[in-house]
Amino acid sequence: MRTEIQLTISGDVSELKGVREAVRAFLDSTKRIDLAEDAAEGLDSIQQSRIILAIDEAVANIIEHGFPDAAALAQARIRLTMRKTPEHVEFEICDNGVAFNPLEHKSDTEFYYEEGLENGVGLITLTTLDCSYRRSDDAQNILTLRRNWGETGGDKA
Amino acid sequence: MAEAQIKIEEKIAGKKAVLQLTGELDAKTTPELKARLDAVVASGADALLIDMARLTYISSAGCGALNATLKALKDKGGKLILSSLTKEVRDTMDLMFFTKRVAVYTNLAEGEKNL
Repeated sequence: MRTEIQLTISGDVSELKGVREAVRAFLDSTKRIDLAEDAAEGLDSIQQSRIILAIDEAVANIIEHGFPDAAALAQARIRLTMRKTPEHVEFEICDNGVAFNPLEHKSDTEFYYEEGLENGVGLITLTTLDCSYRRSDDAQNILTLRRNWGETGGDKA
Repeated sequence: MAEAQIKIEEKIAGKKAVLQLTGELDAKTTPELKARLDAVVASGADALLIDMARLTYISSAGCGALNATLKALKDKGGKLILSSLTKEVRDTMDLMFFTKRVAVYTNLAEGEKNL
């Protein structure tokens, strides 16, 4: 069985709470869906929390850094597609911002703490999931985050 | 669609300040906390306890505001400590290595004792 839900997000950080709530509801609904008998029934609270956090950080990063000015931000189109199969749960974040591969970003946590910076560690959260990135022919960033049902909470951090 | 909210309750006694947070700290709500933190530091406080018993979510934006305040306090010989982190907030702050930089106490009373 395969389920897919799509959400459209504007370039406004006020929408982040709604994104988190939608992801949580999607993950919670796994418990009410007929998955294959050998699939895990769901994810524990830390696994859920890390998925929600990673998506929040990825979307916030697009809104805050993906568009060069307010006029471009007003034209932002961010689409979150949530999919689940018997094997995994998958989230695809597609945006029309400047080309940016968040998986190539390296967080310098020593510098961040020494300098008291306000930005720089958010994309660390992507390391808790299997992620891939591509730039599409029609100039979209496409980031995919995936978690297999069988994995435990802390094994990828 | 409802926006994230943050409520900040503040107690200042001399150079010690306690902030109790209720709600969520994300890219939307963090500027409000950052403004309060800046005001507390500017008022002369040099020891700050942030109690997170009723904080249900923190993103890197919230950690960033705390990090800037941590640096400002350390630069003047002060300190920032945390108390009452929920399991999920603790996990997020562990992922960002914040909990390696500050002392974390189980509850508000323990935090106040060590402020």
